Amino acid sequence: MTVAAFRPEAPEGARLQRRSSWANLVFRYCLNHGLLIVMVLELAIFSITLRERFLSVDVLVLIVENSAVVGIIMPFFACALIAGVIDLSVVAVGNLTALVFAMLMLPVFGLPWGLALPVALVFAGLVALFSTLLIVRVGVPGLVATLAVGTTSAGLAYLITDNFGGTFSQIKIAAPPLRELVSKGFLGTGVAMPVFLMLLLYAVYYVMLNHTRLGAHIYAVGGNPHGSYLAGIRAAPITAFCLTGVALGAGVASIVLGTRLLTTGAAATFSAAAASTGGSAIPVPLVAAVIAGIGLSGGTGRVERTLLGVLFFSLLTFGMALLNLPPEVRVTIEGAAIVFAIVLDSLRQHFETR
Amino acid sequence: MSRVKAPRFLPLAAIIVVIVAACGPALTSQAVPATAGTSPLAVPTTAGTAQPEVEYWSPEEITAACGVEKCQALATLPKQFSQPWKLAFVNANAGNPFHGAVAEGMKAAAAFYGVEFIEADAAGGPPNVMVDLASTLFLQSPDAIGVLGQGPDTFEPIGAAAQDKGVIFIPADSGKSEYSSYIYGIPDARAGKTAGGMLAEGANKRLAADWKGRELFFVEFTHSAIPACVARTGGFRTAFAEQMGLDADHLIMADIAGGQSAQDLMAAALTAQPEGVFGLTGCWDQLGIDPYNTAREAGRGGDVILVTMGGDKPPADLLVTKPEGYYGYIEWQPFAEGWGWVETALGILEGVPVKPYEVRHLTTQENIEQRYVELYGALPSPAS
Repeated sequence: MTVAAFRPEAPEGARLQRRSSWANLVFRYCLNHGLLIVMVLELAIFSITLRERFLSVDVLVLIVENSAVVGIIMPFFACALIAGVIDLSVVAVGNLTALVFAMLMLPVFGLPWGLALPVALVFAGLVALFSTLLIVRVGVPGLVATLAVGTTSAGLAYLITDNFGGTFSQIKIAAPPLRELVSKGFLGTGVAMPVFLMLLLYAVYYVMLNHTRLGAHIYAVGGNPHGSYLAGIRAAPITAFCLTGVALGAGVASIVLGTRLLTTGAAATFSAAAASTGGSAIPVPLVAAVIAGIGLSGGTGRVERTLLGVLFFSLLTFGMALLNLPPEVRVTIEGAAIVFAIVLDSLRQHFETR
Repeated sequence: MSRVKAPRFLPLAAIIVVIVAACGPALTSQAVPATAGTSPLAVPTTAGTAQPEVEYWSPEEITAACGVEKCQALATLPKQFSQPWKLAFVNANAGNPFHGAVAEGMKAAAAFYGVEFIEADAAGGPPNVMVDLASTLFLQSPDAIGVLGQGPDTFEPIGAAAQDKGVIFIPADSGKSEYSSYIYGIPDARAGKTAGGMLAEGANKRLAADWKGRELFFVEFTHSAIPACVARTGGFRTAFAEQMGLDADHLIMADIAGGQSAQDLMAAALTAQPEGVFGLTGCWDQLGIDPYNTAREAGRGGDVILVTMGGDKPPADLLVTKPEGYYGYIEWQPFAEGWGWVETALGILEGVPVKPYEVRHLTTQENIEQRYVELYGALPSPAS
């Protein structure tokens, strides 16, 4: 078996080559790059309507920094989706990890942040391994297993805040060096460290998914589990790899967010992964993945496109907030954007396979 | 087979063009026109060393300008400020009647005093959205910034950022921040005690009449992650328990910060005490009205008495129909509160003394009609 055998980009444009008229070219171009085109339109609309309130390097940097929290989770989450695993525990596990991190730095435990961080991430990894055991050994469907683990994690989060959270059910994160790192310019660039971390993770996952045997196996397991089994690919380690990645990504992202907000709490909406979706309960990574055309049935999609999905959604949320649009209008537009992205992707797939 | 290749870089190039355009010189911000009602310095200097005579707004002028809310001036401010101040505010959700009215009050006051006011609304988004919006406001170099009714996960990072940037931070209805010397807003504990006394008055009337011999419980609907709520309902509980002689077994804490709804918590209390009667309140008006409606839907409307903290238009619309068990509310007067925040911020910036904000209206079924007409013009028609 070769790595190329599972490359997802093979059918791109193959069926559309018959006609090369200009209109067809434009149509195909719009279908393939619809998200990018809409993002440019989005930028243009906000630039015109908000003028200097939007059109400045500082604001654009802020939007990218705002995207970074979800962007850190996204490569892991997209990889899991490609492998056919929808991890519904992402919000709760991220939240719990941030709480464990904050709790370990309390005087009762007294760990410095440099030590609390790896311990909290190891904890996140163990939670992910438990989900994997439920899926692989017990045979619980991934959706149900991660939902159960997520609910349990949310309960544990409340247990922690009840016992260590003080009056307001929140734990302060007092790590000034870490706050400097996540809130201020990194290496004199004026851009915060989480942005670089996000880009690094995207680069690593891009290479891994597109240019390694492991990446090919992930596409294979997600796209055709039975076929990949017959080809000798073991699904269990891949599931473990993906779920552990999501848990670590969610943990890091929630710690980054908690450090920015100087405190962390048990409420699920607090978590990075649940950051505003216009009031809906859908985690942002799932929305970004859908917008970016990652198939929820596994085996399809490009991890790099999810970066566009994250930026698109962040830009939309931010621009509408700056425009002070009424909440009901924002939620409607966000929902319409998701529907538009799904329709666009369906059309693209339809024309590719026709 | 040859085919025409689509220029894939085009959208990317467009993004780069937008960003490069953004790197250019910033557009000049628009000057804020002086509003009607403001007047220039009264007496110019006559000699080089003489101090200019400064004219101040009188309390009567403020009350008149504020409109139906008849605001009490919190600071005696000059008609000409020492410099053109810029105020910023992050609103949690302008679609909420209370938050919306606060924002309207701020805008009206800023227009009256002739200062620039910039606002961002999180539309009910989580804390990180509010913090990000505050970051965009900081880019416009405000002199003071505020946030309304939030927990430490919102006001502390905004306060820390304000401190970093040398901007005065005045959180409203949010409790004490480590990054600000100022607290502004509803005097939560005192207002809670006043409202608690109001419920005690209503409960005593019922216990002397249709509730005679019944066991009274108090259910406090609060949100433990919001400091203002803890102080507000805590003050209410203290006053009500003292006046009614209730022990701890008759005080039920219903905290929605744990994820349960007020309706579910009310249903649990009703089930646990099938023969009991209940005094109710919530940290904000809807948080009291929701469980009150639950009791009515459960056929227990006769077993509850409610005093809400806060009385915006929806509670006023309900109270004016005089439903059984809704005794009344303490008004927060959000428009006046928003107006007062602007006065407080300007007072701090100008270095003049500032008084704390006070709530002044207790509305019951006895006086709701008069108050309703004052605020909203006319009573709603029976059909509505």
